[in-house]
Amino acid sequence: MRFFWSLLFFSTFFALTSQAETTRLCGIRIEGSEKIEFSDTEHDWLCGSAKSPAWQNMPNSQRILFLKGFLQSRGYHQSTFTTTADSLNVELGPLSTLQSLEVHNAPAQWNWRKRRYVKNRPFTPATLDEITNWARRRLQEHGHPCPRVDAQALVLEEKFDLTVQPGPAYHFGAIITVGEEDLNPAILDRFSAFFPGAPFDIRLLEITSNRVLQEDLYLSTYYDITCTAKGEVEIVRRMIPAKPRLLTFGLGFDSEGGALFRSTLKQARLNETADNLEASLFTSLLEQTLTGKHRHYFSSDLTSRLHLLTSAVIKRESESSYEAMTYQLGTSLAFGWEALPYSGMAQLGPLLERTDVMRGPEPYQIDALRIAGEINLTSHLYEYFLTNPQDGWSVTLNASSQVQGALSKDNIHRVTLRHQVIWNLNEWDPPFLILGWRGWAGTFLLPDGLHDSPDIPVTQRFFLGGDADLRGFARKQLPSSDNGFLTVLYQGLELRASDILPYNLQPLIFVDAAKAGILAAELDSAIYYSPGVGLRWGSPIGTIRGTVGRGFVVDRDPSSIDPGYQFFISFGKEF
Amino acid sequence: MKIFKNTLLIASAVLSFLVAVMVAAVVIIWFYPSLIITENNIKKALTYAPAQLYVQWEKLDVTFENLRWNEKRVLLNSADLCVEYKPQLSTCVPTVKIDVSFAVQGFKPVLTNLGELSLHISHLDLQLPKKTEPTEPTSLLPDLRLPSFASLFPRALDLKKLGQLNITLDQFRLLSPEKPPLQATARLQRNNSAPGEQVDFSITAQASQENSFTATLMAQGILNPQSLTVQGRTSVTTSSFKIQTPLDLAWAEVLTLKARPEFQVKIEKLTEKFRPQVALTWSQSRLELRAGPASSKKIWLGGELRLSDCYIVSALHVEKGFPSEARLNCVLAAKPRKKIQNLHTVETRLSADVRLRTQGAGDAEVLTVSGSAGLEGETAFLTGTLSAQGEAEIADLSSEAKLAKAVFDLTANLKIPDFTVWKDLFEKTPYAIPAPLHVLKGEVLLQAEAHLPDLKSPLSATAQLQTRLASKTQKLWTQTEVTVKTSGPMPKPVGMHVTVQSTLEDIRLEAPPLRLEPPPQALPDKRFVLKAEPTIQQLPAAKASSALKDKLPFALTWTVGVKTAQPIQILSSLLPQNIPVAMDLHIEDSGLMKGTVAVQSFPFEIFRKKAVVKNVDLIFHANSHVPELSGQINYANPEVDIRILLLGSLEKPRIEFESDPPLNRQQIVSVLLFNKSLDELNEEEVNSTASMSRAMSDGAFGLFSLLFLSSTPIQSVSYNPVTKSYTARVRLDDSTTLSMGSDFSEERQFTVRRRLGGPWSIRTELRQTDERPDVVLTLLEWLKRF
Repeated sequence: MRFFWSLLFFSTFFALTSQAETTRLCGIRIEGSEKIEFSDTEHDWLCGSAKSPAWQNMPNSQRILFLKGFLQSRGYHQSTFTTTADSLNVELGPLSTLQSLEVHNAPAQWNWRKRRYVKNRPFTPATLDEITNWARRRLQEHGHPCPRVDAQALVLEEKFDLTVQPGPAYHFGAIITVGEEDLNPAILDRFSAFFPGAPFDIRLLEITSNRVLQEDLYLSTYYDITCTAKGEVEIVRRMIPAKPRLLTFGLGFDSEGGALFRSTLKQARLNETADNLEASLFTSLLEQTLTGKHRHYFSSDLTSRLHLLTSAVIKRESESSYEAMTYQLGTSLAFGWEALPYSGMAQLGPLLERTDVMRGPEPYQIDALRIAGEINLTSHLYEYFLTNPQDGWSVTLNASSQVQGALSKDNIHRVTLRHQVIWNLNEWDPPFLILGWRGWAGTFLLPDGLHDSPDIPVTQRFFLGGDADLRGFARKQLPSSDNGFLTVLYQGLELRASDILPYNLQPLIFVDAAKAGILAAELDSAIYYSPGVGLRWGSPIGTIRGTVGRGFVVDRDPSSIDPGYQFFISFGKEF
Repeated sequence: MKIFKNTLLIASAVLSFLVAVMVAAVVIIWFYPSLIITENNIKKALTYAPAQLYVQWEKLDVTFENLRWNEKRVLLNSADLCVEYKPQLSTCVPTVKIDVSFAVQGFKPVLTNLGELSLHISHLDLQLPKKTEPTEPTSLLPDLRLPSFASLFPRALDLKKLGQLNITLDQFRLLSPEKPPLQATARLQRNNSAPGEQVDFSITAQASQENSFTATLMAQGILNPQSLTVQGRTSVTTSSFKIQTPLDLAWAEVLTLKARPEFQVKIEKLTEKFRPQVALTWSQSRLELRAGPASSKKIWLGGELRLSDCYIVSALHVEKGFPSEARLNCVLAAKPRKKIQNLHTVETRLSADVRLRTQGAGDAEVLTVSGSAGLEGETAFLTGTLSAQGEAEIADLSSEAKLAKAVFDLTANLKIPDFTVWKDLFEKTPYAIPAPLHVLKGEVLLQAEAHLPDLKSPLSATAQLQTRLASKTQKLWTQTEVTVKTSGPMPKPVGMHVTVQSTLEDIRLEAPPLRLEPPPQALPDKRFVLKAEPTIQQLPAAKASSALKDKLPFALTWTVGVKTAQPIQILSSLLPQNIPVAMDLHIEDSGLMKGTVAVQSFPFEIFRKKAVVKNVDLIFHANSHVPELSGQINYANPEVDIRILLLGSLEKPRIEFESDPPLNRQQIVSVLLFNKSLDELNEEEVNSTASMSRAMSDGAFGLFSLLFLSSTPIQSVSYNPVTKSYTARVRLDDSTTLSMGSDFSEERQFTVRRRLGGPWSIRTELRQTDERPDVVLTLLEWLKRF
């Protein structure tokens, strides 16, 4: 009996789920696996419109032609049509879904087989257009500004067949600038991510446009690529100038600092060389910073990135281990350059600093005169994928030195090295698994025999813990004492799955590990590490990340901290 | 002398003895043939036969009976008699029974009685040799004279002497090196075994040839020296048709054949059956074939097509037998399923006369062909006349026929008096008149002439087609002239040139209904095919166009010209005014087109501002497949005159801007979109201006979408240069906005500042500090420039 009822249930279920759907309109009857919803215009074309008398009472042969187009746009390519005296009957036929993609004549450097999201896509002209545009875009990223892509969709095989003609490989040459020339166009070359002779990559044009926008010199800068019949390529830069002053108010959030607020007042185009002056206020629960910067481009070569950067900073930090005010005034010579896969920036100059510690370890007030220098190398891909990290790297070496006698009792050198490397594992397109590796190391170099110095303010010392490094520990939880570390080595790995979940949710797992030392150039035996999991959501307005990590300490001092679980959530932060 | 005499005596005696022995032997053999003609002797005799001949049998029994001194009866019985004569013949006869009597009359054997002829042939294979050239040339003109049956009946055959007749052939194969084998089976049996003046017989036969035909015959007949009558059924099936028919044939002085064949014809997926009555009368002097009626309701879905009263009558040449005069007459009738106006049944009569005359003989024989044809009909959907007259001389009929002379005239005057009748007739067929032409009423006229004065002159033909069609809102008045001329002597011209010149005199057409939304996919996307086809790049450039040329025995060239006498008016539901389009195009057989399609000046609203389209020209150059685009739209307000230039090609249109006083591109776009200068725009408007400008540069706006958007008040435009997709927000009224564009996906674009609308944006930056690792930070930002 039970068997009978089960059989009845399942057969009814399958009958209902596989029931044919019928769509009826103005003498057309469409049988298929789904009901077809026609747009108003499609309805007019099939059934006629009172506003267009010449398009009423169309013959069936014409309605069949239109229906073929409409159904094709929905993935039905094998519909059959029969006419009776009363109606036009349509059997929808099978719904085609894309099963495979083949690209012919692709250049070797473009591995089109890494394309994902091919199988089971709707087999429609819109999908074919998207795939064709994707192929064209990829060819433009691999040195071919004027590619030609011919596409064919094979219905029985459910396959897209693309034949590409990449065209000749192109290297960047002269750029024509069109637009309001209140500024010398050479200034725009200052921000170029490419240089004459570099292989063409359309992303470099977009990076350049964004750099210009970041400077707030222009509202819009974009590049037109014109491909002539003779095979020549012309790149034209077009611009809309911006008003010179910009006032912004920005809002962010993370669980460390709570709400983040920043306000900026910027005056660009101070002179013909596009010097700029910027004042900004950044506040969170933990940090409040008022910054003023002036960039002065003094070189006669307007394309040069050589400039004098003068800055004044007033910062208040309120951490669990200390509370301090820092006053900085400095000027440095800054220079930038462009190489094939990366851009570089270097700066060097004196920095005058006073630190007042209101709460925390001694010393409570320190004045210092340092020479600070920094070199940063950032790959173009890192810059390009800034809003959606999936590839690229960035390395920064920072060094500052206090010289004995210049507001300092000792020679104190502080060196930090920071890096971030992101890999798109197996180079899927779009990415499937993204591996990130970040780390930083820092130490103090003191005179012989010294392992610590009272002239090192707490704000200069190293702390571990928080969303930026060890995620299994609270912000700046390490060390347990308030004195901070003088040597730190931190490395973190994060593996993120791109799109295995709906709604753009991306799960991730991570492990952070660090060693540190309370003495300069020495690492203690303790190992700190924190594995964890998290979720990243690429919302329409920005990235929201949440992580849960568990801290562990190996070979720890009995008096050191007892780690536990840490939860972080942030808006806008990336790995 | 004595010796001579003795010698002569001895010789005579010997000779006489020899003769006597021979006579005695002949007499003995005649009266006792079984002494010599025995199975063993026959076997021994066969050993001297040629090597290709092979005969064997299971049983061979020959019995002789003396009926009279000069008449003998031979009874032959054999079992499993097989004869092979390689490679021409191979047969096996399981049963042979022959009872034949013959007499020697005047030293010649004469058949006196065929008491029984029973043959059961299990297989008979004949191998035809390869064709060789005929030893004697024959005339190409067929000799169709059919003599009387009596003249063909063998006089020596006395039916009274014919007894039992039973011939069965289980398998016959005729093998030929050029064609597939012809296979057949047959059975012929005499029904009445008693001798008499006539023989009743029945015959059953089947023949077939692979990939060619299959035929069957079942009939009974009566044969006598004066006539032959056969009644039965036959069928013939080929790949394209199938005929089954009863047969009623009578052949005495004249052969008459009546049949009612049932044709089954396959045309693509359509199968139609016909059952006309056919009557053939054939004699020494005349050949007449009548057919009809036959009708079909499937070929023309609009109703019934009927062929009635169709006959061909031909008088045969007295001496040579070819058809010297032939007359054709057929009536074609169409009866629509649905009564259309005053149209009931439509009849059109086709008639033709052909006369053939010959002069001379052998290689000097010349054939002259003359004739005329006519097509007449007075109907509601087609009126007119079609007549053809011609004369040709064909020489050297015995070897290769050569056309020596030809004169030809063709005249056609056809008129469609009411176009709506044709629209109704073809409405349910694949050839239905499409919208918006299907509402037109009026007449269509066709006049055509073709003339060939002689073989040395080219064939020339002209045709004029005139349409006078109109409806309440539309008009289609055209005049088209076609000229055809051959080059080189007929009948093998070396070339043919076709010139078509079409003048669009007055045309007004309605565009399909459109709304403020992306238009639907009107036609199937040709990129979608069922299975792989060579892409355009894989095909040689001229292969497709030369395919037709390769099939023709002469070079075909053509030109087509289309020109408007006044601009075509396009009516659209989206625009209050008509769009005037002028055309002057010239297309040649190379496929390249040159000329211009020009949208002419008309008032226009662009972004809710009154403007004027000065022109939009598509210029086709002979050396390019892609038409050049050239156009200008003028907009003026009290402060600035703006010219929007459409440049580039149809594949990649480009939009440029000019103004008086001179403004840059973005300033012009800001005036067009928002009627403000760039300085007066708020942040969102500025970004819309930038997006619009960039999208135009990238060609993301096709002309069609620009037309859409230009008739709306734009609130904002955002553009993604990576995907070349845009989103435009248009304000329908104070409270309603509509988003439309080419891509509605939520894909995030690469940019450090992404506009959300108004003064809001998302800004992403890399925050680098000495104390902390680098952090990518995103802030929701409000900004203002001043």
